[in-house]
Amino acid sequence: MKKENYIAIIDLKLSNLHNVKLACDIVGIKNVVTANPDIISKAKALILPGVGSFKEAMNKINSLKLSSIIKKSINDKKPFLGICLGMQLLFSSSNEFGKSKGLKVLKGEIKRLKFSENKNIKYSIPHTGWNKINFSKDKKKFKILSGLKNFEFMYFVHSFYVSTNESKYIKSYSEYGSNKFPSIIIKDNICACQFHPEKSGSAGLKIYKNFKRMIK
Amino acid sequence: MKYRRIIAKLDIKGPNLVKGIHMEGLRVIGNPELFAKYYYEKGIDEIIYQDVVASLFQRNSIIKTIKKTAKKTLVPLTVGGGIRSLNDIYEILNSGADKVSINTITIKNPNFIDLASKKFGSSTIIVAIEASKFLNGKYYALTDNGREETNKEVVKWAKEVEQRGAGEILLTSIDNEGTGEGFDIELSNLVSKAVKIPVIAHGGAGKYDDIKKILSSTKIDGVAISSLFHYSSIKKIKNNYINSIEGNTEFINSYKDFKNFGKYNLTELKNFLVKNKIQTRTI
Repeated sequence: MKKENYIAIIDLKLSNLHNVKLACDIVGIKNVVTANPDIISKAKALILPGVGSFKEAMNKINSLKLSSIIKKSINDKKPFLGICLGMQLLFSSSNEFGKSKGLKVLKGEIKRLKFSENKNIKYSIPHTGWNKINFSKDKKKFKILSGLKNFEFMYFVHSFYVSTNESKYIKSYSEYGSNKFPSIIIKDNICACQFHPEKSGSAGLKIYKNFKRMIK
Repeated sequence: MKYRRIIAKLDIKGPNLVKGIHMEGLRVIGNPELFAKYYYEKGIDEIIYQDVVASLFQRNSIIKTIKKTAKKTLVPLTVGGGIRSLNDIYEILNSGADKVSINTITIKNPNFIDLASKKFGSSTIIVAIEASKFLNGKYYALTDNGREETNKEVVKWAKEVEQRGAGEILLTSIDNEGTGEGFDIELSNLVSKAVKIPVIAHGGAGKYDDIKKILSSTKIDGVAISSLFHYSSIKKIKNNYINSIEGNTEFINSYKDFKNFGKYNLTELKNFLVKNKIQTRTI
C-alpha cells in the first residue's frame, strides 16, 4: 500500500488531542487527527494518545475496526508512539470495571494504582502531576530517548498502570507511594509512555523531536 | 515520591492579566500569555487562567488568549470562569486548554459534574470550591467569586464532587484570599483528608513561608498562587503591552513604587521548598 506523507494521530473521540497535535506541529511532524481506517493505514507512523477508560477505548477501537490496522502498522515496523491510555491499550487486558481485552501487542495487564497516605503526604488518585523517570541500564541504545536525562521530570495523569513480566522492554519506571510502574516501554518500533510528553515542557518535546527522526 | 505542584493562577479580564486590589478594583498587570510563558520558562508546574468577568461578550477574547498560550507553554493549562455548558467546555479544550475549572454551575446542577467528567474524562474536570467559615464554625461553599452563599457544607460537598467524577478540587479560601496572610490550614486539612483526588489550595499566599507551612502541615497536593510573582516578573517581561480599553491601567503605566514589590520569584520559592525538605519539581 502507498505510504502517504503524514503520520496519523488516532482519535477515538474520547479525549482532547489538541495538544498532541500541537506538539507535532511545533517539531514539524506533518499529521492528521483521524479515526478513518483508510487514512490510518496509509500513514507513515502512528500516535495513539488518550486519557480515560480502557474499556471504552477498546470498544471504540473495535467498533471503528482499527484493531487489525494498528497491529498491521506495528508489524510493518512503522514507528508507533503510545501515550498514557495509548500505552496501556497495547497490553493484554485490564481489570478496570470488569475484565476487558486489549490489543495484545505486548503481554501484561493494566492494574489500578494503590492509594496510600502517611502523616504528611497523600498519594492522591489519579496520580496527577510531575514525577521522575528512572532509566533502565540500556536506555542509550534508543533513538526516541536521545537527549533525555535520567531523573527527568514528566507530567503524569493516570489511575492505572502497566504490570508486565517482560522487564526487558521497560526502559524507565516511576514511583508513586507504594506503586512502582513502567513509565517508558520500548520494543522495536514501539515506544510507549505513561506520562504526557506534550505537557512535559522541553524534556517532553524531545520525545516528539526524536519521534520525528524515526519517521522515514 | 510525591512532588507538590506550584501552580500560577492568572486572573484575566478581557485581553489583560489583572490583580484584584481591595478598595481599588482590578489593576491591570499586562499581557497574560507573556506572563504564562515567563512562568513556564522558570519552571511553573501548571497554569490556571481564571476569567474574572466571564461575560459572554468576552468569550472570544479568552479563546484567543488560550490559543496563544498553548503554543508557548507546554505545561497543563486549566481555564475557568463562567462555564455554563458542555459546549463551553468543548470550546475551551478545543482551543488548547487541558482542563477546565467549574464552580457556579455545579452548585446549581451537581449532575453537571457527572455529565462533564463522562464526556471529557475525569482528569479534565476540576471543581473549584470557594469556601468561607461561618459563625457556626463550619465551612460553606460560595459561588460567583465569593459573592453568593450556598447551603453546601464544604467537606460534604467535596466528597460529593469526588463521587460524581471530578478529577481534582481547587479549594479557595475566600476569607484569606487577597490578604497575603497565609493559607487557611484548617480548611485545607479538612478537605484534603476527606477525598482521595488531588486538592489544590488557593488564597492567602503572601510569602515563601506561607507556602512551606501549608505543604508541610497538610496533605494538600499543591498550591495555586495568584499574584505573588507578578511584580517581580513585570520588569523581566519584554514588550508587555496592555490593552488600554480594559480596567485601571494607571498603575502599570506609571510603574510607580516598584521597590516595594517584586521581592518574590518562582525559582527562589522552589529552591526554598527543596531546602526545607518539601519535594517539588525544579528545572
